Amino acid sequence: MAKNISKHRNTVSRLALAAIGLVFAAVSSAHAANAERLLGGAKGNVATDSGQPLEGMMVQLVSQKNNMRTTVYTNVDGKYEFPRLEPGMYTLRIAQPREFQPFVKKDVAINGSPALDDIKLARAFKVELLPFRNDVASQMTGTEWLMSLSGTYEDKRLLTLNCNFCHSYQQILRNHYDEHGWQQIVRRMTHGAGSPLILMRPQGRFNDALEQQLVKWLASVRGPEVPDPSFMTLPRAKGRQTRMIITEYELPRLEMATHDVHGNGDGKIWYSTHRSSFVGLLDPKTGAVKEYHVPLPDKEALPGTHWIHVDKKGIVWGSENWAHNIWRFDPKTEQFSKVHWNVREPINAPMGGNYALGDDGTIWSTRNNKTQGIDSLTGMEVKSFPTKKFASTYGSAISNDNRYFGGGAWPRDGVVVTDLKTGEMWEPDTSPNSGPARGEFDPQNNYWAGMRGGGLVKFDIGKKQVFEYKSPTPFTAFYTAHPDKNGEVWAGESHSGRYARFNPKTEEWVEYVLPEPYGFDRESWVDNSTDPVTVWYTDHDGWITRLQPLD
Amino acid sequence: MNSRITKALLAVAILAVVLAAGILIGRRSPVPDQTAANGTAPQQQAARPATPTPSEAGVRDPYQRSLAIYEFKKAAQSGPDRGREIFYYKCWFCHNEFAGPQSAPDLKTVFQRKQLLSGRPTTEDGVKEEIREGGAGMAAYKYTLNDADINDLVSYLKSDCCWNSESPPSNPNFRGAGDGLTQ
Repeated sequence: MAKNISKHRNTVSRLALAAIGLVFAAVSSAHAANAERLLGGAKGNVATDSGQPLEGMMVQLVSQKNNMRTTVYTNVDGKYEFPRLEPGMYTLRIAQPREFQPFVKKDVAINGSPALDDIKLARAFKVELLPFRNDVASQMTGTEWLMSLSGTYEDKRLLTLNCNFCHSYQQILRNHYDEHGWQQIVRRMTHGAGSPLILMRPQGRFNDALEQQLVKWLASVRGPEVPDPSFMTLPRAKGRQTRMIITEYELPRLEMATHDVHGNGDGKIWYSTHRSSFVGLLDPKTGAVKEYHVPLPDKEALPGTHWIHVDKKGIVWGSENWAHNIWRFDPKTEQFSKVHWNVREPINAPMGGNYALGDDGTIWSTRNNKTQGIDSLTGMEVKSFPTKKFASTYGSAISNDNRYFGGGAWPRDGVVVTDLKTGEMWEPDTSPNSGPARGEFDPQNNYWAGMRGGGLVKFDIGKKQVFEYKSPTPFTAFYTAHPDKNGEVWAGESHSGRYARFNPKTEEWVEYVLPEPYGFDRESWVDNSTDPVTVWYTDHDGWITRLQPLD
Repeated sequence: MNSRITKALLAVAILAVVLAAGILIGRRSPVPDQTAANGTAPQQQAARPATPTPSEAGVRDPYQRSLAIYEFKKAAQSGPDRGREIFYYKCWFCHNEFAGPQSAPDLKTVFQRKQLLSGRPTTEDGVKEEIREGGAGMAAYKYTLNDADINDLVSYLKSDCCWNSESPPSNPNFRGAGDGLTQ
């Protein structure tokens, strides 16, 4: 009898284990199926003109209807496959052909899942280093520019640490100036505050000796008589890096310095602009954008927003970085209201820009030696916790359960995490020149931030300790970081033309190569409603990018 | 007790199998197909022979966004609109509408002044020379802007200067106007 019971138990246990295994297999399979469901459109092959398959080539279809750009990547066999796109006429091209001749084919009819003509690419250059030409130089990432210029790592580090957050390195390094010219530009850039560099401060970002070192290095590599460099390049995407679909959306205006994005919960994406008073709402299905005009500041301030956030009721919040206001927009009534934000900085100097909104309507940041909660409707402080070490944080985040505040202490090296329930606060240092900035909490309440020095930092809420993860690609800067529902962390790599995905469990990095060589992501938004997740950011040069990983 | 455990395990197993089956069935659900929504049957095209496909655009790709950025040609290929783009990247950060008397002069009225701060005349040639040679607080741009760049820049200074943060230029590549722009 006992033997029978035991046998019965074993059978049931095996059945249960098999069933659970089947569930896991099915879930995993469903995960892959969800990803594959994104595909099913036009497909084809890319190879050299001698027939060698090319992996990691970025094949792009540009809609002639709305200029929406969809990019997929060739696999190890040179094969690519698009998602199903709206039927119509498209332009087929290769983004960043680099050592190959450009490929552009207009008037390609897409309807369903056609097999497209094979793309054969001829090498444009039969040399290792790519020659300096506008069409080549413009494809180079900031990392590649710096890899290709002479100078010590110390010289280059001066530039990457102090010039990483406003514009591309290309915007600097494409120029030739004499030493006097470089002196004027470096002085204005490092002593001026804000976007209109009119508030000149005697003390720059670094001391005079280092300022002179940077000027002399720039004049030595980009002086009037110095030849332009040939370029050494980063490798193309391989393996898992190729399992990605990227869609880029045009915006109505140029030179807006687009800054943050945030989803509205209805499939649309809000974006903020740094140097104009227009914000907008993108409909990704059609590419349509509805612009809204934030009422002009009442002072002589540059218009422009910074932070943008959609709360759980659909109300849109933003900060006017130069005019020092927080605005609120109700999409139903299309009415804006504003609250003036009391900061010590003069108008047109940054107010701190980034905030975190709690579910109770309190806006959190760390400023003036305290983590403070401000009533979003009155601008009055409702609660504060004094800091001991860091006067302020650049980023502001609040955990999903509203218990913790977190922020990177850039321009200093550390993070601030505050328990808003108990008042306990942690201010751990991070490594020299790491510069943690913006970020977000993961589902376990660990705080993650992008490091200006290149990489990610985690404040482990259990261990009360920071862990740093350096970017595999050099000369890059992380402005922000966003964990998804699975705990993986997403972050744009400014200046390396890549977008990073980091798995904290395996410490594996996947760096997705972007169709444009910038990756200037100041704030991403992860849509956790899809599987795999969908990631959004707006490049500071003026378009919105959607990333849809296939695994 | 044993019977209860057995029943519980069986229930978990059955639930697991049902869930798995549901997911597998879900996998077979129709793929969302935009063509179907449009009433047009997907059209299969046979792959053509693998022949070299030269670029229709020669050595330059007009869709290369980074090249338009690099050459200040996002708004226009030449003329005042291109000059505005050069102005924004090379001049505006010092010569802007918020600059006070202690900063770089506003260039809106540059051609109406008697002379430039350097003493150069406020003629077209004088302004071009100022841009090329620079001044006490300004870099010499002759090493980085060519004649075409400077001509476009000066055409903007003469015709439509200066930057208005309230009216950023339209993006000629934007087609998705949708509901239209809200002012």
